[in-house]
Formats: sequence, C-alpha cells, structure tokens
Amino acid sequence: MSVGAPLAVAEAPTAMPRRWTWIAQAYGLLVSAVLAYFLLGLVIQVSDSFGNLLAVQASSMGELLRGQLSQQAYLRPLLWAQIKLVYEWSGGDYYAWFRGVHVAQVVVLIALCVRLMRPATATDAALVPLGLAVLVGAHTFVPLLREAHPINSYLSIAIACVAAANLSFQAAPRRLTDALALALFAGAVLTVESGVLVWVVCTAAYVLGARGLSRSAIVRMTWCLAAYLAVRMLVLDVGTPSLAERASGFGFRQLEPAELQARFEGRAWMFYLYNVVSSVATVLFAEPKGGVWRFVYELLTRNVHPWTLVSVLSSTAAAALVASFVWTRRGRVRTWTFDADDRIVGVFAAVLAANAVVSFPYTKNVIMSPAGVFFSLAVFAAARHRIARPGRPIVTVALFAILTCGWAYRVAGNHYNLRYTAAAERAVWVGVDDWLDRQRITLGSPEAQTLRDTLRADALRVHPTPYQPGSAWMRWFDIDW
Amino acid sequence: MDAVVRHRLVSVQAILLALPPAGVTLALAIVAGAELAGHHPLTGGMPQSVPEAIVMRDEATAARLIDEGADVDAIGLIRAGTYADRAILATPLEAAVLADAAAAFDRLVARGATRTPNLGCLADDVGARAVRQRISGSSSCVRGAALAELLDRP
Repeated sequence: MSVGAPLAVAEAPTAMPRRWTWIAQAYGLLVSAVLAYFLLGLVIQVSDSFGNLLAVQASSMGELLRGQLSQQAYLRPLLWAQIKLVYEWSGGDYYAWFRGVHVAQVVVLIALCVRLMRPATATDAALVPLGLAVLVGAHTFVPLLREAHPINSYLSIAIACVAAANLSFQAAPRRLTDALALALFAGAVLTVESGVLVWVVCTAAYVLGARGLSRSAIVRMTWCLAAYLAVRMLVLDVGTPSLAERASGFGFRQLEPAELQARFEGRAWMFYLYNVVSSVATVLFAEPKGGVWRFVYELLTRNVHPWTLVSVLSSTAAAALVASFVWTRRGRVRTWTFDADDRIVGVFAAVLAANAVVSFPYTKNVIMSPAGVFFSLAVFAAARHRIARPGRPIVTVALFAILTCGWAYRVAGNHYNLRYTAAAERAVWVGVDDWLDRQRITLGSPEAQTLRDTLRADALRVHPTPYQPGSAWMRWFDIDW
Repeated sequence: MDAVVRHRLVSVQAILLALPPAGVTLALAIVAGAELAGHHPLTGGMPQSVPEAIVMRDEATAARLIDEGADVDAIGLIRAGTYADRAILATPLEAAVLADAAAAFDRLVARGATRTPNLGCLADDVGARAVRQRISGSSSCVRGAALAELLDRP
C-alpha cells in the first residue's frame, strides 16, 4: 500500500475544516459512552472507598482539612474536601453521585484529549481512534476507572494536566486563561502530590514556545510551587512514604514492606532509582507493570500470555513511532522552532520524566497515568507526522498494523477487565464484616452501620453484577493488577 | 478523474487506520446497547444457579440466591461455555473448588455447606491451590478420578 502522494491531497485545507473536528469529538463521545456503561457496572468498593467514606462521615470539613495538615507522608486536603462534598450532596444515593462524578471525569478527559489532538483533516480524524485507543487501552489508564477513593484523584490530576496543556496551547495569553491555569495548579497540587505535573506541563509548553499562558503566569505558578514545597517540608513537616509504607513490585514479584526494608534499608536510593526507571519503562514498553517484570518472567518460563505479548508489542511500537518522530525533528531543536505536534511530544517527554521522579517511593501503574495520557497524545502527533511523510511504506504499514490492531485489542481487554472487576468488587461486599474485622474497624455509630448496609445493598441487590464473560475469554485477556 | 481516484485512496487509507480501534469501540457499543435491551451477546447472562454464579466469580449473585432460599448443598447446572466447553452438574462447594475461589469456599462452609470427601481430590485434579489449603485429608486420591466423576455426573 502506497501511503505517500495521496495524503498530500488529504492534508490540504478542506472547505469545512471543523467538520472533522466535530466528527472526532463525536467519536470521543462514543468512546466515553461505552466506557461509562462499563464503569457504571462497578460499585463503590470496600477497600480504599468504604473506609474513606466512614472517615468523612465521622468528621466535619474543618476536622478533615486539619487532619490532612498533620499527616506524615501525604498532603491531600482537597481530595478529602471533594469526597466530603459529594458525600454530603449525595443525600444517601452514593452510587449515583460517586459513579456520576467518575463518568463525568472520563467524558471531560476524553473531550480535552481530542481537543488537544486538533483533528482538522480526514486523516487526522482517522487517527483519533488510534490516539484514543492508546489512551483507553493503556494499563496505566484502566486503574483510573477500576479504582476510586471513591473519587479517583489520579484521574483528577490527569484531567488537570490535559486541561493545563489545552490552556498552554491557546494562540495567545489572556488573564482568564492565566487565572485558570493557576487555579488548576493549586487545586491539583492540594489534591494529590502528582499535581505538580500541572506546573511541568505549563512550564514545558512555555519553554517549547507555546504562548497560551503568559510569562508572568508561569513565574507565579513557579512561586506557588516553591511555596507549596516550602510549606510542605519546612512548616508542616510532611515527608515522603517510607519503605515500610506499602508493598511495591521489584523484579519478578511484589515485595511486602518488611521485605523492602530488609533488602533496601540504608540504601533506599537503589530502590527509588529502580522505581523511576521502571516507571519510565512501563509507559513506553508496558513492562514492567507495577514494578514487576512479568513479560520477561513469562519469556523465561516459556509461558507467554497473549495479553502480555500484545501489551508489550503495541507499546513498544508506539514508543518506536514517537522516537522516530523525535529523530526526524531533531533539526528543530537546534533552531528551537517547534510546531504544535513537536510541543505535544516535548510536553510528553517532560511529563514522563517528572511523573517517574514523583513516583520514586513506590511503583504503581495508576501513578503513571498522567504520562500515559500524554503518551497517547504524543503517539497521535507522531502518527500524523508519519502518515504525512511515510518514508518506507512497508515499515509504515507494518507499524500501523501493529499499532491499530494491538491497541484495539487492549481496548477490548480493558473493558473485559472492568467486567471482571465489577464481580470482584461485589465479592468483597459479600464478606464486608470479615474485611472490617481484618482492618480492626468497628462501626460504632448507627450512621456508620447504615452506610455499610446501604453500600452493601447497592452492591448485592440494587445494582446486580453485570453479565460476566465466560471462561473462554480468560485465555485471551488478563488483569493488569 | 485523477482527483477522484486520489480522494478514494485517501479514504481507504483513513478507513484502514480507523477500522481496528473504531471497530472494537463500535462492537462494545453494540454489546452495551444489546444488554440495555435485555440481551446478552458474548456472555451467558445472569447466573442460573449458585454453582454457576461461583464459577463465574459472581459471589454477590451467589450470596443473593442463597439469601433468597437456594440450598447451599444443591447440585446446580453450570452451562456449557461458563467453566468448560460442556455443561457440568456441581454443588456450590465443588464449584468453589473448580474456580479455586477460596473466599467463596469459606463463606459456603460458614453457611453450612457440607464438605464431601471428594473435594480435596477434586482440588488436586484442577490445581486449586488456594482452596486445597482449606481441605485436610484426601491423601489417597486417584489422579483425575474426582474430576472425571464430576464431569460424568448424570
């Protein structure tokens, strides 16, 4: 298939350039609607969510915020404020409100991503399904849907980062845009630590020549970042998670906190370096996942699962596409003149590096979700460039065959994953009292017992388990825990 | 004419690029629409019995069926395609062994399900390690016999 000359025709401005933008946004809405349907199959989970709801039920907003200021390892006051607000607004209809917020977040994220892709031609619009497949099919994305606390803070950060990129990529700065960017930064950084990535996005975009935000906005945001770090470290004395904080992947398996301490006490930097390198690799190559080198293990034991193989192949092909884009544009670095696609790829590189550094204490797929989101945008930009200037057509056709089919397969797998999770989450609600015993949580008040009963009834009776796929599907898909 | 041909080439290429991911999204949309309309393509629909719910790992439905009066020892049908290519008749505990669903096994025992002597051998036959740790005895198993007996159940 020759993909050279005809495309020059396709890239020419059309009579209605906005038509393809609208078609792309409509496709984004379809992707969101399908995701929303599968997302609504999940209920509010026991682990991470029920305990948090008990905490917000028992405390006033002021107590919650004050409690956050005395934490040892985390500073997330706005996350708790959001949970408290939705809890109060729900009036007891927790499933509808928390799931509704989750669905709204997904819709907003996908719409912002499509906007950032700027599809203006038929070819651009044809690449949007690939771009969104890289977004939705990634192993860093599915935990954004599967997990919640019961608001998924990492999804909030991913939205804030993409929104910040949208503001940065505006044609010219405006006061409102600057103010929005500062508000996004403040909101994100006080929701979860990786909110600092909003600053990374804005600063990287500015350095690469994007002028949607003014220089003074970038300077003010930098001052805010410095103030945040100073208050966090010097005033509130909030540290970072220690080795004893939680389990983390290392090598071929998950290590418990005691094992991590035994192995890395006194040389924690080695573990942190491992985490940073693993975090970069997981976005680019889908290996390791959560710090565990599963594909390598399967290769060594000659038991490669189709899901693992497709994940690694499709991610590596996507990384190769982005790398080839960077190589062909290297001349622009010398002149420091970049177009929008260059900037998207540049911002992705900055977010990938910063996201990996931020997640140094432990590795988890979901923490790298902002980098995963920008990876999809970088793949879209690189694909647009590659299609316009295909070079060796056979290589291009092979590359796009792996990319489109591989990522489509991963999209299907992640929806399977959501179905599987819908049953797994409800199973925990069957034995919620055992879980409470294990966590040494006593439901002292009648309100707490009512909350448990309401959420349990939601999980077991009001919103029954969605239809589960048969065993044959398990041969093809797997769960990227 | 030349322009028409070139336009068609662009369209074919665009379709080829979009087809795999858009096709999967459309297929998922059709599945979602069908389910909303009361059908269940690609799945067996709601579990029809406690054992079937357990092999589907749908413990919530299993618990609900038991709450509604299902017998925790009753043999139930696990339809073809749910666990294996053929239909299976099993008790809830046997289903928990087949799925190696340790938590479901514990809950069934807590709710009075009867442990039959074949369970340990069945766990060995299907490689159910988690459940096997909960079953003592059954040291004299003939390999494959317990599973064959279950599959041949009339």
